Amino acid sequence: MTPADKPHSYDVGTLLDESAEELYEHAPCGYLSTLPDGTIVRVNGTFVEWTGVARDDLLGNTKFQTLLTIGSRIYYETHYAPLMRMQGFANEIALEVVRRDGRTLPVLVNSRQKRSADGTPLFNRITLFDSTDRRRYERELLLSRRKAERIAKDKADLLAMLSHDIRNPLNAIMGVVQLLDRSDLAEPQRRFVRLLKSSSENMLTLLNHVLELSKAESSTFALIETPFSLHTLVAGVISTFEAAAQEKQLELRSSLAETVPPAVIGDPVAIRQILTNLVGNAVKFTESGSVALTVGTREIGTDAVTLTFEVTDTGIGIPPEGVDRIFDEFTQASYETAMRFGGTGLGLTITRRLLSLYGSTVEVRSTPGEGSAFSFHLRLPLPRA
Amino acid sequence: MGVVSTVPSARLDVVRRNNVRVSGRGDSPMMFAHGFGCDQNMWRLVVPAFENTHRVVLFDHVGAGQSDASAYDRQKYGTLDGYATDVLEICAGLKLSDVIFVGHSVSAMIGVLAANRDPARFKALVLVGPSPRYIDDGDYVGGFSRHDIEGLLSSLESNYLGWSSAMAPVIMGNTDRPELGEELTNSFCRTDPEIASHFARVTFFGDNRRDLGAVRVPTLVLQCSDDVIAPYSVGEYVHRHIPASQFVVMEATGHCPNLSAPAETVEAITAFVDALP
Repeated sequence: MTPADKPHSYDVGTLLDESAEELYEHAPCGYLSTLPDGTIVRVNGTFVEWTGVARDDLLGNTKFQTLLTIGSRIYYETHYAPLMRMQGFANEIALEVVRRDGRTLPVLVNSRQKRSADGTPLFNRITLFDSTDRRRYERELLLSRRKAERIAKDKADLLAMLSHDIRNPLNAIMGVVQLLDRSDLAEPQRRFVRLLKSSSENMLTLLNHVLELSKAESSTFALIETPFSLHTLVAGVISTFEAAAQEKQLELRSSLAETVPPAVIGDPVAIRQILTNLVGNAVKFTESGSVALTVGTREIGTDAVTLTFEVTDTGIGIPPEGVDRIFDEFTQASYETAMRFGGTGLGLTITRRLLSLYGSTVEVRSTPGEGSAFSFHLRLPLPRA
Repeated sequence: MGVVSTVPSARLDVVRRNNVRVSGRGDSPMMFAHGFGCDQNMWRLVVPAFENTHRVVLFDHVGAGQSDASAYDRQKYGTLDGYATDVLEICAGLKLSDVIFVGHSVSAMIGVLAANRDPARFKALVLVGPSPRYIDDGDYVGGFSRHDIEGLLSSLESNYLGWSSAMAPVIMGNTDRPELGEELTNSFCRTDPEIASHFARVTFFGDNRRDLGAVRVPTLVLQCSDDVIAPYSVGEYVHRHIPASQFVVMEATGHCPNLSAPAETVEAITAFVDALP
């Protein structure tokens, strides 16, 4: 048996002989102690080696921040130093140390401040990790995120442009279909025309949704602020769906709490669209029973009111795993839903986007087979009396 | 849908938008504005010294601290003027007059712009570590090159990667129990990464040298020793170009004397304020 074949054995004694001082000195990370103003008062060999600066030059008259690139130094002054003073620690701060030969070393800094009993900062303990590899991954991550965002935006732009360009000839087709429908036709032809009509209407809805969404997502989109009556708006939304509800023999009702003010300030077009999407969905996904739209007040101030809107139905409901999905673009709760009910899958995406402009979100409660409730809060200013 | 009509001066909205906090027992209002990086907490060690004699107004710039980030508008905040508008709106909302405006770092210039637009509103300006332009330009030494500032932007990017934005709501929800937030992250400097990087661009690529000469209110320029962000020569430049300004060089080093040397900062501001007519 040669020595190389011998099973490896640890000399525990030698390992334990390593003093804390040696471990400090040669640990695979940089250790620094600085005064609160950054002056280095203690440093380990690893850090000395990284910088290439003599230990004596580092100690006593060098501030840690002067060893950083200028970008990192600004970050140090504007973020790191305030954090240390205010919370006494800083975690995982990414900085770049300039070595003596001019090359830079990306480091990840963790820091704790030692304070006296009365809270006066005494010194900072700093650990630095060489984060060269990590920084490279981060760069790659950032680049791929930017690329993905650009591609998504290009696609959305293309979709909006195509939708716009398709809508014009589609309007012409719908006009002709309407003329055809009024003309003298035999029954089979009339059936064909009805099919043409419903298909082109569905297509127009899809295009309109795509355009509304791209409009709501554009950075220049701004909410209008104008006084309007919620009572009128709610009545308008309900009347839009009366015919559809009657056809399915659904009870469609609305109620506004007495505390809802006669006038509020907001964007009536956006709010109507939100309610139209929610009530439209409720009517569409409910085969029997009822759909209700209620508006209540959560908080009434002198300048503003917080309103609670809720749309409830006794429809098919949404399985728990579908609740998160329904807000995604072009997505419905399940493939079966999409096949059975049709639609663009864009309504809730638009709704969520519009509500986010108000700093609000939709909450969903649903039991499959029993029904769903979609609710949200809106804080709207009140007109001056 | 690009039309935006203004809601009649809604005080509430301004207070919420900028997380405005009012304290103090005096009549004379002092408004403290934080610089790039953190939020109104930057004034925590200085403000108590003025609460007995002044009405103290603190706020967060939109995008910082607990301001309403949804109010961020890239166009409005594409220059420091947008921030100056907010300062004037807060003054109007709180019906403040004869305001002593104390601005740190970039907020020093924001104060200059606000005071130039509505001089009647202000009694005096205190500019802590001001710089009208960070990038060198001909004979003017701002202290930085364009390349340096690109380095800062990349430093911001690296750092915000680690600051999960998902963490923010957790901390925001516990404002009454800050110790919970402190356990989690670098909570005092939390901000939306996109906004921070835009704010950095607006701050460090801006040029407000021409606005200095228009200042008509008494002004104190507070200069730190060894401040890499606003070096001595820049502070001296600001002093030279603001008519009848005072220039005080402090012993405090670094860029944040309001944190590193609050007593010296308070002393300098008090001496200036007490001598105001």
